[in-house]
Amino acid sequence: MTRTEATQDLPDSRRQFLSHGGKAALIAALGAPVPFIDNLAPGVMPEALAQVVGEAKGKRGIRVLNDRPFNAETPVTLLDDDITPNERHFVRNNGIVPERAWKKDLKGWSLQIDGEVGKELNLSMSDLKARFKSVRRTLVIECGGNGRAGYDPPAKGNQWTLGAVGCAEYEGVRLRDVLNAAGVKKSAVYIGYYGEDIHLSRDPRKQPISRGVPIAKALDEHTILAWSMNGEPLPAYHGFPLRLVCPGWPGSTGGKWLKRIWVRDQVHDGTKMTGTAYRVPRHPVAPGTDVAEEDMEIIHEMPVKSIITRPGTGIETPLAKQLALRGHAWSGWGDVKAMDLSIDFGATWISAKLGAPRNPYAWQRWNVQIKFPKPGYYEVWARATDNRGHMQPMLVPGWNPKGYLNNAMQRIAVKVVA
Amino acid sequence: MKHFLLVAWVLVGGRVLAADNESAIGQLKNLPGKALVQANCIPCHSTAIIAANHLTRRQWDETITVMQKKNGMWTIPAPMRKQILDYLEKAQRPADAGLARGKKTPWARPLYRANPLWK
Repeated sequence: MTRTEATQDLPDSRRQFLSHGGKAALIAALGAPVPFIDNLAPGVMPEALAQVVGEAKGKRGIRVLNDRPFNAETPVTLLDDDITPNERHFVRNNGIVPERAWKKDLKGWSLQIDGEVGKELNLSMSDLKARFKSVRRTLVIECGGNGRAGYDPPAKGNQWTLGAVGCAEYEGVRLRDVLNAAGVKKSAVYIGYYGEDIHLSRDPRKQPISRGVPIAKALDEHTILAWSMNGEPLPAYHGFPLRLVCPGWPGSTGGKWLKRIWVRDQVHDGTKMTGTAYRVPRHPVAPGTDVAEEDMEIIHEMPVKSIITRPGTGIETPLAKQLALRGHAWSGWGDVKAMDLSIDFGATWISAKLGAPRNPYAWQRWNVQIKFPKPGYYEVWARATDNRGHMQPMLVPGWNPKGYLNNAMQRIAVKVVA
Repeated sequence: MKHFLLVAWVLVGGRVLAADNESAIGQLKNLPGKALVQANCIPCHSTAIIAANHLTRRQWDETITVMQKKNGMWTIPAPMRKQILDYLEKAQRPADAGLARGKKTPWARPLYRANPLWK
């Protein structure tokens, strides 16, 4: 069955289609039963009959990888701002955005803190704002799978290239202030978050994702509960009304649409904490190796990385003029201390000017002017070095089954013309 | 190619993303078994994630098992499972340029190098 054949008989309104005997028509068109047909949201057209691509509401210029769940990355040249605007910030969702987030509705919402605490807390948004000191932080959030498309053999999941990263300004409170108000017991080992997002199967007993961090990271001064992103209430895709940000760690540690933080006496075992999710092999493995689950360990800090936001790859530039290049650099381990570029495939390196971060875990602006020696084809390679002395690798680093942590140098092609 | 795909979406009646967002959502290939894949997978997630992944038959089989164990997918009769796997093995195999998605992205293209151990 081709797409055209399947859509020839479509009525004007696809919404009506499913509500007026559409289900039977769908089954007939497919020639197959449709399990869970009742789960199809009204108005959703099955892919078999038309590819439904959501409107990417509030986003501009992004590249949508998946519509259900919604996942989108930012083309790297659109990441040039020091602070990534909300409309340009990547989105990695695991489930369905809750209605509350679209309606910006706080009714019935509270944040529950329980588990290994002296006193359980149930905080409304106004409690949060009134009881704790608010902080503003500019923080990089990067998906653990950013760069996954570079792995070969291919790794499972969204095929992120370079753009599953952004650096926005968040306002909120330190998680540690809230946890300390609840009184963290000595038995506390980990936190696990729960959000209001809906599992794709619409089974209310399932969480799309429920991850967390060790208690030390939860109590770190930089880990925050944020209600605002770039001066606006959190956009629906980004977790309205409240999200966690655990800077420097995979974005998935920063639970969105937050409703509960469970302080655990063991490593949290929620959805996507166990098995192979957000884990890498304990020891380096050859590409394509099967790795047993017990040999996988949870990702903590994200490695040093940088991007070239200007110019885009493939640019032509006159020999007589210097070419201005710029971008950002960051590391989950703290500040980046050096930024170098090469125009000769890594034989020699040119130091770029590297700015200070606005605060810890914000990305750092780098820029440099390069004069090319003669006309021809060049690749510009960009390499950041963090304060541990760790550099970005030239090639895609350690293969791992789920394709995490690809921090290979970005390279752009430049044609120099006489 | 990008424009062709956009036009194709309009023609089939799918809604298009807000004007200047780009869809990188791939289409499932028309091979036997496609309808079964759609029927069993789209109630929860779109086909985008299927089209984006290139795995071995065994990995696809594991993926279905994970969907059943963790994500509430129904039990599939063995012959149907075989047909689905036949499709996925053919249409979404690793040899089918697993990096195609990235390679098609001009600003990411120079990022990719073949892994010498992978045949």
